[in-house]
Amino acid sequence: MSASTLQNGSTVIGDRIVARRSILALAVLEARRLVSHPVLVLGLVAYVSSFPILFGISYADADFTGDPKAVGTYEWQAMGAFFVGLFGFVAANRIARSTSRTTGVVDVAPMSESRRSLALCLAGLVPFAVTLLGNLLILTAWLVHPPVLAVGWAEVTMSEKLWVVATASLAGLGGPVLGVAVARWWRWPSALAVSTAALVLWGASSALRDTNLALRLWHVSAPYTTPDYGDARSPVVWLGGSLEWRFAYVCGLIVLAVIAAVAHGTTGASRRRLKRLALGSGMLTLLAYLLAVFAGPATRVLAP
Amino acid sequence: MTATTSPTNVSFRGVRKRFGSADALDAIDVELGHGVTGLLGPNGAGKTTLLRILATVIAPTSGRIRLLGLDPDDLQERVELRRTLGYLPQELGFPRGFTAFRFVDYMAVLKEWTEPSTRHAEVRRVLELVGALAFCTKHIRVLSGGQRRRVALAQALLGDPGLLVLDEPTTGLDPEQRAVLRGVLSAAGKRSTVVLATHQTEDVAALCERVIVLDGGRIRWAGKVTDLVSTAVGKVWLADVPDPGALSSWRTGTGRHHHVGARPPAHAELVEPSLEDAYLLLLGRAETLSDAEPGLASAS
Repeated sequence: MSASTLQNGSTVIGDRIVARRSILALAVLEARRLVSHPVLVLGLVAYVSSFPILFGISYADADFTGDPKAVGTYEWQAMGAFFVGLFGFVAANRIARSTSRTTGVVDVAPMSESRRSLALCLAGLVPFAVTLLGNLLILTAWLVHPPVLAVGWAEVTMSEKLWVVATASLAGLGGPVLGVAVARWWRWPSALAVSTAALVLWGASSALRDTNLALRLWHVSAPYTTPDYGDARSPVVWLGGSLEWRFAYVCGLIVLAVIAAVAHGTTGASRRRLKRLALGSGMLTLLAYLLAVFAGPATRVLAP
Repeated sequence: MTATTSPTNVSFRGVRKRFGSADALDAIDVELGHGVTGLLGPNGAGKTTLLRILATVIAPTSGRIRLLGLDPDDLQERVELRRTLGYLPQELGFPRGFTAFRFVDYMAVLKEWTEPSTRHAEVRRVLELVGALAFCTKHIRVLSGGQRRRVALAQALLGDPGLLVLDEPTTGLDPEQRAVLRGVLSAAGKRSTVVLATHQTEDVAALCERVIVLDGGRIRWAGKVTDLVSTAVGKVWLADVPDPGALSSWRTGTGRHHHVGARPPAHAELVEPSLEDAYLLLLGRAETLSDAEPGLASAS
């Protein structure tokens, strides 16, 4: 049934039904475009290809005939965040911007820009599912056959492991959603390059030992960061802070990115409603962030 | 001058559009019902601006508009209107990576065709209408200009729109494709209001019941095509020699000279005028005789 047929004698409820159906229908199309975008395809191939390497290292020298390879158990979560989250960020950004070529007709379609943005954000659930499944696969494999020499595997609780997997997997959703928001608001030519570099720098620079409050604040603030830290001169430590609240904080960041993406192109009452929603979500996100910094356990040494 | 047919699907009252300090449209009054209306005018006459207002892309600076009985100023009514609006802009870019079918399918979703099998049937229907079904699985980037134009037109025809707004729809099409397109648009005109802007007077003559001639943002003429053509009767002639006094003159393929102007010489062979002759005469008169015939020059 076409929308115009359904709209005859339409009601508010009818409009909402049409709106939801059209968002879902578009989300399906956008998900197909997203997962077939060359950048994300490359990321997904790299991500899946990293599994045999990971398992090869995990179980190398299992008979202890040589030096076993140490596995940074939690750094491996970065593979999904990087290859799916970051590549998804770029792909979603390119897809969101691609319709600017067709502005004349897209802008006069009954489906508004905010609904199109929401559909694109929903399409991010596919890379999220891939990342979550990949991370759960690694976790399950290690639970069945623990790595030969894993840093901090036994010292970290199951609950902590699950929160780390859950939070890291959010990158698969957060990347594409942020990509859409950036595409909607920053339309200058190098916006994608600048925002990609900023995102990489933010994530990479947050992987540090939280020896003071400022460093702890910075470490927790990143959308993706590793939960442990170690280098050649110091022992491996499990960084302090609440993993549960950090998960909530990252969820809050994603909600804010969705609101930002959807808000573009809205006016009047819709814009005011979204501003109120952004304010409420922003405050909850800030609260979750502060709790993630202060509410969790202190930093502890995993391995000397 | 006001173009009027019944029932009224398009109503412009005193519509004005300013860009900075320039008037792109000034005091436009138009009323249109079912049928195909052609918009003619020189570059910068305001045709595209008028079509963009009709397609709800931009709002007028002042004036009152009703389209299909709805007020495009009201958000809810604008959305309702867009559900039954087809628009083909002058230049349409395509997102990368789409086949013709996927692109029209994507546009169908944006037009709220949610049920996949019904949507796909509609996409195939419009692609077949414009003769694009044969290459619908090809990527748009490999299609020729004319094929792309047909794909762009197909998206405008989705859902049999009640108001079809087309900006130079025949650009890039070969004569056979143009003939097919005329058939499609004349059929659409029986059910809906079709407004098209073009520089091809032969398309307007072949297709449109009504014509609006814009110049400098104002309506110079509005009415039936046949009425406009009849204004040139007795003012178009063939001669063996050029006439520097004619408003427009050129050497035809037969070697004789085709003259358009108000004063044929004594031994000239008068010929049946075309819409193009009438158009040239109208704009020529508007420019050169505006003082002598103020009623015509200030027709809008």
